[in-house]
Amino acid sequence: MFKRIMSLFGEQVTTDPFVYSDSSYLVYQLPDGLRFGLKAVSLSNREIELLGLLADRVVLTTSPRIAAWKSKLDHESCIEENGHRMTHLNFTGLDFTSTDDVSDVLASFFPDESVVVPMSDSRFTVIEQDIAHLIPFEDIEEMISALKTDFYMEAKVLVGQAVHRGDIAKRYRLEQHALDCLRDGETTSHLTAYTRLAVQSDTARDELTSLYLSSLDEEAKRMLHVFFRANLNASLTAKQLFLHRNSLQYRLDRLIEQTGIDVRTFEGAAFLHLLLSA
Amino acid sequence: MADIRLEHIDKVYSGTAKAVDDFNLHIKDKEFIVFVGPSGCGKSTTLRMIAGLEEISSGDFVIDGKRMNDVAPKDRDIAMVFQNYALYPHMNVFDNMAFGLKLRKFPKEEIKQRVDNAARILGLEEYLERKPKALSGGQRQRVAIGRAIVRDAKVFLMDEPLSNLDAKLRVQMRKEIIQLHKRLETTTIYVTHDQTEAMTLATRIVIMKAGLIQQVGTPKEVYDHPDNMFVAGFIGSPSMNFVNGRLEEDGFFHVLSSEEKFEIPEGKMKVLRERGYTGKDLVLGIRPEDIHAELIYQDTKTAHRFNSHIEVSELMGAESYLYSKIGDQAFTARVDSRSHVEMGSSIDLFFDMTKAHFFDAATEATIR
Repeated sequence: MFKRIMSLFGEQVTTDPFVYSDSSYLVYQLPDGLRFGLKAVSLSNREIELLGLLADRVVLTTSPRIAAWKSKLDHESCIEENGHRMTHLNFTGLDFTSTDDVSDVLASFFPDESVVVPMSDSRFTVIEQDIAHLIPFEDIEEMISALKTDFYMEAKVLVGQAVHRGDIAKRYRLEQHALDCLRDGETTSHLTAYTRLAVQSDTARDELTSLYLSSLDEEAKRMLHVFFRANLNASLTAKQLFLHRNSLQYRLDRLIEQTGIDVRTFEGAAFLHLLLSA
Repeated sequence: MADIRLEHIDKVYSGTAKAVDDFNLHIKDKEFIVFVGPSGCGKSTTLRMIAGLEEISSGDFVIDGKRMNDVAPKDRDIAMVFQNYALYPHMNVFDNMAFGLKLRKFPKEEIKQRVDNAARILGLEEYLERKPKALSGGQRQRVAIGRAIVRDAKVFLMDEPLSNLDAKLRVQMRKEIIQLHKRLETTTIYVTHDQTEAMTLATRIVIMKAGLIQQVGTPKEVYDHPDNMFVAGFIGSPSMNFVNGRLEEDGFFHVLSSEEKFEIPEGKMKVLRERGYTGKDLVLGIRPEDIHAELIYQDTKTAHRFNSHIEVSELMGAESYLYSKIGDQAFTARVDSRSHVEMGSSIDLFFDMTKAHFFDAATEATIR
């Protein structure tokens, strides 16, 4: 692929990061990971559009803070000691000249301590760090609607899981993978996207099972089975497990704390049921 | 100034039937066009193709003589209002309205002037500092419209902008949209599934079904002279009554599975005869308001009297809806509430046959 691009654009192409980090270059990444820069002035809008189909456009970040976060996400594994939640956005039909404007809207919408990481022309990940004051899901939905109107585009948005501490790089990849399962126009929570991902990919389901169920003991798994069989009826579950209702409630609360998934909601129950029945 | 032409527009999604099929329409400057039809008829798809949010599979979309098929949405000079308000929750009303202009790098003074002007038109002056959460549904929708107005675009596209509002607010906003169009005179294309909205707002209505245009005309034209049974049934509430029957040699319309027969006025009879419908199946269409209960109608030559058993009656205030049957075919009469009768009673109803429509039973097209 790169040879073909070389043959088409010749001297306008460079693989030297020192050269393409200049703002007069557009930077692309091929599926095999190779990055190259093309002099922007030599490209027509149609060529830019077609190049976007062959390779991902990479937005080079100049802010050291954004670069540091991007590097964390690019790692194989990276433990983030502080609480965080990622929101992943993938826009289709976004004109590349509007990328900075979209980035500005996102930066003004999320709280100051959040960071907007542009991953390409059309993909952004926003990391919120104050998990005690997260932006409500409905507000994100509303903001996306307005953004779509102003920039004449479609969007897939996944609002990730808020965690106190964890491997942010691993979770980033998983949530990005789940984002790709969404349809254009969808804004969902991570659980809906994970459920769809687990249905589509056995490998992803194994990964999710290990992420969410490995910490649970057999007793907790049995409780979940009975809880699902009783259609999430706590009293009936407690009766069948010969437990006091309060004891069951305590165990459910502990399970929610361990997994971060509220099994009493339809979304949470559907996801855990899918993993347990695999 | 915006003269819009949609010529032989098709929209095909891979592996499915045509969502929009050979759509042809010429929209003149300052018109208020309403696309109306049931869910899935292709009205929103057509609007989205005009906005550039959907690709046009084939055909030409032209504004003021310029083919726009390949022009990016932001360069089409079109402003769009959606059903779901689409406001930034973290910005106040002023910033929400100003955002599109800031994006286009307008000078600050001009932004302020345009926003203030739009706020005055929409009665939002005292809310400019408020965030969307502190506004009512109607006010939020007005801000969404304001976001489109400030752009001063050539064309407004509105996709069911009133569907999220309650019934009372919808009526009020409808009035405001009419006044707004009168004032701004911007060419507007409005999508709705609500025929009342279509009738009250449009200068011309485009009625669609299964991707095909069924009829284009002024509200009065489509109401009084529908091209087919679909249009006749879709426009008007309660909808037109349809009675299946046959035009016999005796010159009467004989209702199917009933002894009832209707005398057809001479003018209409002449047309039916000329078109060769004698001895053929027909559908008689009559609007509920053309069935009367006042006794004075028994003296008119063209009214057909039918003694009706009222199965259900609904008193609406100024008028009453009476539900009955001819044979096994149901019909509704919309009569003055002074003629209201209780359920289960019998009453003479008079069908004003001069207002009757006749449709071909096979093609469902109006016989003219």
